[in-house]
Amino acid sequence: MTAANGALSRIGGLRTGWGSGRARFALVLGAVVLLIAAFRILTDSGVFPEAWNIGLADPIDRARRWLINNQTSHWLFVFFLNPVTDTLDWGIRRLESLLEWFPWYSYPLFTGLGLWWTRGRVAGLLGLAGVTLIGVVGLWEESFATLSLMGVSVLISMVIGIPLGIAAWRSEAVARITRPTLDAMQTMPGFVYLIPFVLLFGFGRVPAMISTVIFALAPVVRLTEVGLRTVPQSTVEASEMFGATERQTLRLVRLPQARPAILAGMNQTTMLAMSMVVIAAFIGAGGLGQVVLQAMQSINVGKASEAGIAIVIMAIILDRFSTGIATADPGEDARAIRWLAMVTAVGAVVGGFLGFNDFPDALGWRFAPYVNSMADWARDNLYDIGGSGIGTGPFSDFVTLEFVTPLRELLSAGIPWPAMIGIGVVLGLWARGLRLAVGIGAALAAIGLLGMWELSMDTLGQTLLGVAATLAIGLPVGILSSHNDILRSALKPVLDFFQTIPSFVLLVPVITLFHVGRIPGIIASVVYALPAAVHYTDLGLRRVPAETHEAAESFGATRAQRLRQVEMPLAAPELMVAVNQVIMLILAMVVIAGLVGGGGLGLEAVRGLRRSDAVGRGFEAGIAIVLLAAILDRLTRAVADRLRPPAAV
Amino acid sequence: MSIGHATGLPAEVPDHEWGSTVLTRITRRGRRSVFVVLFAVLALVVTGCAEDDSRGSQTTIKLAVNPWNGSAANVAVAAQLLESELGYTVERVEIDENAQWAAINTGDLDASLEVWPSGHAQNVADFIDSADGNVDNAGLIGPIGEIGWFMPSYMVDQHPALATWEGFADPELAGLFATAETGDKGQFLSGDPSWTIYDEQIIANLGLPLEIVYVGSEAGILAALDSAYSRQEPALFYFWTPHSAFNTYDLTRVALPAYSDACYATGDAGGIDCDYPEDVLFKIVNGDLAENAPDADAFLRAMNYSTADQIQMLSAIENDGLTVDEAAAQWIEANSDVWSAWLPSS
Repeated sequence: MTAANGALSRIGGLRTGWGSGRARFALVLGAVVLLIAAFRILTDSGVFPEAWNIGLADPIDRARRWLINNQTSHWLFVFFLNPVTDTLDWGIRRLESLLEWFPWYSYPLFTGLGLWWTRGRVAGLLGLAGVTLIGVVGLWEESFATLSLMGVSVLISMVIGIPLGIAAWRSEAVARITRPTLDAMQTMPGFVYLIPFVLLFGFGRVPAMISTVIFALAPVVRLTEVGLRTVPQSTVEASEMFGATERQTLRLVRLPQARPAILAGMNQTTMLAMSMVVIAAFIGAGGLGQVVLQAMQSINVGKASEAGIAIVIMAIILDRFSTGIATADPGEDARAIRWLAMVTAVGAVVGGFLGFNDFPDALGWRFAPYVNSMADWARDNLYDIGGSGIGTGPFSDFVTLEFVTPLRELLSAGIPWPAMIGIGVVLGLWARGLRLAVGIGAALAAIGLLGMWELSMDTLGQTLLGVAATLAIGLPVGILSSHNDILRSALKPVLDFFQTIPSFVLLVPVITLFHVGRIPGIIASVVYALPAAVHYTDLGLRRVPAETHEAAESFGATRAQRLRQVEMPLAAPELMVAVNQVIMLILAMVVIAGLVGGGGLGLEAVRGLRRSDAVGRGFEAGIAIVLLAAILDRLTRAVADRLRPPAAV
Repeated sequence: MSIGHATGLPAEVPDHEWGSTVLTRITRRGRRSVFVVLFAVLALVVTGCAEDDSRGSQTTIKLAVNPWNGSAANVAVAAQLLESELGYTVERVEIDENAQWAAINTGDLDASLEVWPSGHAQNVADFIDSADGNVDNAGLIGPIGEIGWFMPSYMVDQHPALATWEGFADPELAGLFATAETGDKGQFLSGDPSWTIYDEQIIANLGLPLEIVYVGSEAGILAALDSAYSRQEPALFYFWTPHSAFNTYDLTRVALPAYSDACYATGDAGGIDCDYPEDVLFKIVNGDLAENAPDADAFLRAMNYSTADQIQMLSAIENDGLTVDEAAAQWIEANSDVWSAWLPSS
């Protein structure tokens, strides 16, 4: 009874919170309308004045030219960068040839045993089948190139990330620098810095690895810091009571206690690294990414999906294994697994000396032709089903005409730029306060000063549509999955697939079905962000304590009422986290939009990779993407904090 | 005898506890193995630095393969001949055509055999013409590229006026190409940003009711073409020959006003109103190759064959399903009179 009362009073408290929020929202809306009206009267054009462009592109292009001129002679290269590069390259190659030395059968077997140990028999069998499938479709060697590149990247991320996380935990000053830097590293599109990295580190594995580390470093640093912060004070005090020095406490108490968090960070870092596989192939890293790129060149969807699925399999196995380590409990199978592992190890060494390292061709089978005929079937039958005016083609036109174009025109010209900055400032004030408001205003102004206003508004419009579409699908699916465990476990592999399949594989079928333009980019980003939306919605709703359900039921609430009036408000902060994650993921796909006719900042970033005279502008576009991401991230997080009820006592 | 003994488990330890002891043992071992790995990496670093970097006579030639079959075919021919006739080892490196310049500049790569000049004016200025650049123009590979405006041939069959640019000046005909993205105007798909593109100038100066949509990738243009072609719908796009797509789709080039140097001289002022120039494809080599591997350098500079030679290989790859190396071997077998001239006379 007391529990139910507590829960109900929490709901009540939240209701008033929503009420006052609504009043504030009306105020904000009023202010925005006034701002727009004022600036429409004052200014003729809504576009940021070109004369104010501070032009970061020129200095960047000058730096690029300096690199070219000094690449072969300057001490920086001769005595520092080149030896470092050569060493790293040598290390990755060594790892690759070591991996190739072992006989082919040791990989499915060890994967199977590893997953059996961490996740049980079914997972073990699936792992064995998955690795075998990679060999069956003939991508054995390519997988080693990818695996060794990813392995070294993740290792280096850990070597840099864990000490950095410790430093950030120790000193607020360090944390204040690392947090925004890591955010920027994660949202800056890789295309922008690939060419400069080739100038600095040569082509191939090393610049690819460094790009991967830059993109994937953030989670391990963040989660190390979080893990250390959440070590219970009592444990630390106990350790200090026994006279441990600070260093000893860190090494023997804090770090082991933070281990689950650090492992979770490593898991996320690995997943992020896997999403760089195709980008890395642009600069000669080879591997599975190269297969995807080559298949794209001849729009061979089937071949691209074979390589894409190999990447999915690799990512899912790494994910399952690394999330399973912390909770592994093989129980009665432990003995059998250890025996089999020993037998396999002996077999691996023997086979390695005998030279069974190539996957046998006799086991080869390709599913590319089937995928290709499926893609052709979809092109011929789904575009306009039976000439009825219903299908992907008419749908794409409808969305373009009714939503995409009007929204772009509204954002880039309909709302004058000073009003847009005003809107940002007011939203910041409403969500958190003066500091956020000033930050948003400055970031928006910086986008304008970089000469990226119009492109950024175009991208912003596409991002907002992508977020809306993702939530429109993701929230209901997440709600259903939170109420149904069977649906949830059925969805898991599907969502994992969507999250790990490289978007490059999807580009061709999406264009064939939905026209070149802004729609294919939006669809590719929705596919990528959807799993996160479902996952966080599900998670948020499941965290609603069971006693509130009971309380609501005892008051006679129907299921729909319960969902709308009890669960959703209680889960609101978590749902806001879902929104935040979806926005970040969709912004990460801006570049993909540039490859399919979406224009905006994405096309500028692609140009930065593809044209040497556009490196500077590519960087400007990259910075604009980082700023947009920072604004939307801080704003949604502030809203999530506002929705969080004051800690119930 | 208890079951515990039979399986070798100490009978007094319950199963789940046994599991967790093993787990701690494993993780302890795991922690140690992290150190082992770190140590190994350190060892790699040390030995890596010790590796000597002396450049005597270079025996391995690294050739850039760009992601299209023409490039792969050139490299396959060169690689097979360098290995069989001159005794070099050849490493082929798949790399983006823009990223390759810096690698050839430093000598990380030795050569690239099919550079399309229209897309690389800036690279030529920075790496070849500039005094600090260490890339040499190694002469023409032979095949000539042509960039232009293309459409499926059924469009000309249905509307003969579309054969030339004047047809597109008619808003009604241009309107056939309109899409949701472009409204009333016809849609012109402009492509891969690695190319020099003058479509905006051409469209503005000829006063055509067309609007450009930048696809941003070659695969994007091909997918859009494939989709339109399957329904016999209009499509107008920037494209080039030789390209494997001509094996699959029947395409016609739109006749724009003929190219002239005078017309392109107005490019900086935005005055271009004529067709693209021919792209005479050339080779680039690292400037030190002549010293490090003189025979390979001489061979790569001399290498030159015709558009027909290349198309013959492309057709064998794309239509007959040969691998690039099989097609190259076939060509080498039949054309010794062509390639024997590339070998340095010793």
